Amino acid sequence: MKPGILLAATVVLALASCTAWPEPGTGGMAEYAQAGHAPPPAADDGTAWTLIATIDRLRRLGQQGGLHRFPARIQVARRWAHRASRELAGGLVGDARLSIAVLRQRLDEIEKRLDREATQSAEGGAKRPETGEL
Amino acid sequence: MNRGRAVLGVLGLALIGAFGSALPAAAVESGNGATVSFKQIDLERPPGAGADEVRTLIAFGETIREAVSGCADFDELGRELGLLAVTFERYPIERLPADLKNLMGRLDVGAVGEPLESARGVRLVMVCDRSSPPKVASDPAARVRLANYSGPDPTNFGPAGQGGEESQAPPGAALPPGPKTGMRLRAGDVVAVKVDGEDAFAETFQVDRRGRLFLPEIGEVVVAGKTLGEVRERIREALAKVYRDLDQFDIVVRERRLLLTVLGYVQAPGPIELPGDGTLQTALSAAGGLMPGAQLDRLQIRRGEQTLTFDYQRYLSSGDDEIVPTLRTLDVVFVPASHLIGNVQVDFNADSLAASGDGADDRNAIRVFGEVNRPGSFAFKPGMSVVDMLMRAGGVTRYAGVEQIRVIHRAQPAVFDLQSYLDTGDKALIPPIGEGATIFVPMRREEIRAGAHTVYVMGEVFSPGAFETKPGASFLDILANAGGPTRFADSRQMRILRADGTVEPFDLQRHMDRGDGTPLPAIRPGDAIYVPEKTDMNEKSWLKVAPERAIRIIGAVNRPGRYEWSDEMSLLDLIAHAGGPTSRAEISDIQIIGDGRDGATAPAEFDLAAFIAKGGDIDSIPAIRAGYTVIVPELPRDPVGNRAQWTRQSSDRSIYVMGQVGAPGRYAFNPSFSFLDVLSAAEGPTAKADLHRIRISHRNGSGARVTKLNLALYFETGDESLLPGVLPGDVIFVPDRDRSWLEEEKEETVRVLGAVGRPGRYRFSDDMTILDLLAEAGGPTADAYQEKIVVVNLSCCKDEAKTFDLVRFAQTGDFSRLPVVRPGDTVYVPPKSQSEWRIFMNGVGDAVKILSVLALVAAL
Repeated sequence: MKPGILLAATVVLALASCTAWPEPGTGGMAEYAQAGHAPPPAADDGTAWTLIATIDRLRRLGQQGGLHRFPARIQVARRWAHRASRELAGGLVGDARLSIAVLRQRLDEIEKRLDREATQSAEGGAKRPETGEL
Repeated sequence: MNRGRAVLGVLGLALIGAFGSALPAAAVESGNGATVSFKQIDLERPPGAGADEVRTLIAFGETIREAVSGCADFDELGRELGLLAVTFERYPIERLPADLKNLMGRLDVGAVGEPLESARGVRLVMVCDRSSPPKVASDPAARVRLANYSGPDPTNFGPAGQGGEESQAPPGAALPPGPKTGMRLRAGDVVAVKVDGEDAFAETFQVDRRGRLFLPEIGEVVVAGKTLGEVRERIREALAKVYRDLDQFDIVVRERRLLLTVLGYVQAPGPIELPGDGTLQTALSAAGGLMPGAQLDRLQIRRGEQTLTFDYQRYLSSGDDEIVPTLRTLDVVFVPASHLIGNVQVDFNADSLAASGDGADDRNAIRVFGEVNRPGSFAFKPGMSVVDMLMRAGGVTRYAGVEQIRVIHRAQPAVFDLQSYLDTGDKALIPPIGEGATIFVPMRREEIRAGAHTVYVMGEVFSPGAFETKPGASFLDILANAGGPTRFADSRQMRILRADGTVEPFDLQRHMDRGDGTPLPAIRPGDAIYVPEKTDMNEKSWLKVAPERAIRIIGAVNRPGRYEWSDEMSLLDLIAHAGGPTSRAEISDIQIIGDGRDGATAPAEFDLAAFIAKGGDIDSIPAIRAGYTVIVPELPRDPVGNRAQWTRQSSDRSIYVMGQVGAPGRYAFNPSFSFLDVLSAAEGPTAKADLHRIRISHRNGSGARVTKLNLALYFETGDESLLPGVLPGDVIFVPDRDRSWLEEEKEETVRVLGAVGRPGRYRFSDDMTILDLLAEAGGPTADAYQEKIVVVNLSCCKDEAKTFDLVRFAQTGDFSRLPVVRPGDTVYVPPKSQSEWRIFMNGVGDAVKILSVLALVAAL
């Protein structure tokens, strides 16, 4: 009986190894964790800090008038921030960097628009905001 | 025979007419001796004639002498030969020249003497009557007149002359009976017939107009023309048949009366009877006086076949008796009417007619007409000049062109410059005039003045005309001299016609209103200022505005038309004047077409709507000028209900809206409109519209460009900057939410597979989580292996898959266990058959089965 038991055990183990599942995912709502001032994930090369700085910049732009003048653009930027946060929290560091780059580009555009409006307002020019694709 | 002699004869006739009243009267009343009545014909010797010609005249005179058979025949023969027989009545023989006196002494009554040589030629004389000297004293006054007689000598009367046909009896009391048998009776004579004891002859008898006496017992006796002696003898013979005792018979002339007829323009024309010394004035008085309108200077006396015309007015003004012929019985006095009376009998207005001249229709009168106060025909008097005639016509009026008075004398026209004459006093400037001259004073305006210093003002001024200018005279000076513009003048459109033919416009009103120091145009001699008439808005004729002064505005304005233009006006002025744009006017695309003066007439466009909305430099309004055409287009009708109107809308002024909107179509659009305007015009998105993916195709750029619009985000945030700028020509597409899966990009959707209620592709936002996705996909089914939901991430850098334990999440509520899901990822919900336990159990089952088989085999 001993060889039989051994064989059965081998088959069961072999079958068990054939049904391996991916690791559980995380970061699906990472923005909420950041909103709670959770520390950035340790295992990254500074991307987390970049992200935090970028999100902070987004917040400041929103406070400086962006939220009032360009709410849709702020919202879109915020979504990119959410994505970057999620990607970073989910281990998709490379994607997180790309998202951060996109986010920074969006923020740059918002900042330019704000600066331009400030200049036009000082010169008494047109008050209507510029339009364009997001 | 000789017209010159005939003319002289007429002159002699007039002279005799003038002196006739004195000479015969003197002859009759002469008490110094015998008188003789004779006729005389002069055969004039041509100038330079010799003795042969004189002999020829004498022979001709002898022929006449032999041919004549009486005094009447003497006159008749003279007329046939073209010679005039001059008659002298009862001329004192003592006063005749010696040769004539001798001849008269030898000749019997009715005999012609031999031809006598005279200073002028040859003279024939015929004795018609003789008389002895009177035995009673005559009128002392007549004697005085005779003593003072200074009339012409009959020998010097020349070839022509005229005398009465009958002797002239002395006026006054009855003639004494006696041997005055030579006196011839005439009509009007009143005679007394003495027959003793017969009462029938107690009255006097008058010779009637036919020369007859009607006497008792003997009836009619023709006595006119017969001497008193002849009449006495004839009546005596007739009475002798009735009366035996005629010893005391005698017939004497008691009175010589004048039987006249006054005709013409007198109050009571007809036969009248005057005393023997009656004059023309008494005759006219007997006829009731002259009627107003009688032509005084051409009164006539008709005597037999002769007509004497004389100037009675001259007599009235001078009192000269010689002017008026002495009346004779049976004379007919005719008073002509003035030509001013006309052909229709009307009441005579002496005031007006007298002012029209006194010249009647006399060809010799001077006619003065034109700009004089009393034009008319005026009798000419020697010595009168043009100035006198002008004064006679009441002087010139204030409109007279005194520099251009026309004078026609003897068919020779001349121009009289009265102004120059008055300035210089040079009488040489006065043209000569005479009888029959014509003077015309033209109006000043008819005169065309031109000169080195003349400028002209025409049109709507009070006194247009030519003006003499001086150095330094300004435009306003000249205009003021012309009376200034009238209220009909268009002072904005004045024109200055230069002497060289160029035309310069001048806007006086602008100059006055602005006072901007614009210099007045310099006016030089020869220039003309034209002030046109103002054009009335209600003027029927649009032709009054020349093309170079008109501008046209057509299209969607309230009063399109053609208007007079001034270049200082702007496009806004024109639109306002045309009543403004209508409610359907497309003022964002006003088109302006030039006049072609600068070449091609490329239309210019002006966005009045943008100018009104945004403002801008006033200089940005296109300048327009006369000759231009302004078109204000009209907005298209409803594109849904009236598609035919679409063709009137140009493509580059349209925007296209397609897809899930209420009224897709082509819409009139201008850059002032926004995206929402267009979307609203298209009645907005429908319920099936996918607001997240609206596409705008920009077609007016250099390349293709498409803008994506998340209108839902706009509605969520109100961020105006989301709305893209759209321009005419762009295309807006609102897609359908339920579009084909092929149109969904894989990077924008999350694929949900496996054991869910509605597996498929779902749009996903970064705000969502896997929980939202599962819920949208209907949730896991009962067969779902919820502990191992797999998420495959579309990553840039590495393949990544994660699992999600929904059961545990539900148990713990740990959000950190939610996996990352992004658009492009794939979510797989495996069935429970894919669980490890199930697989294990299946494996165990299989192993048991194998072991059972092995055990069975081993048992066997």
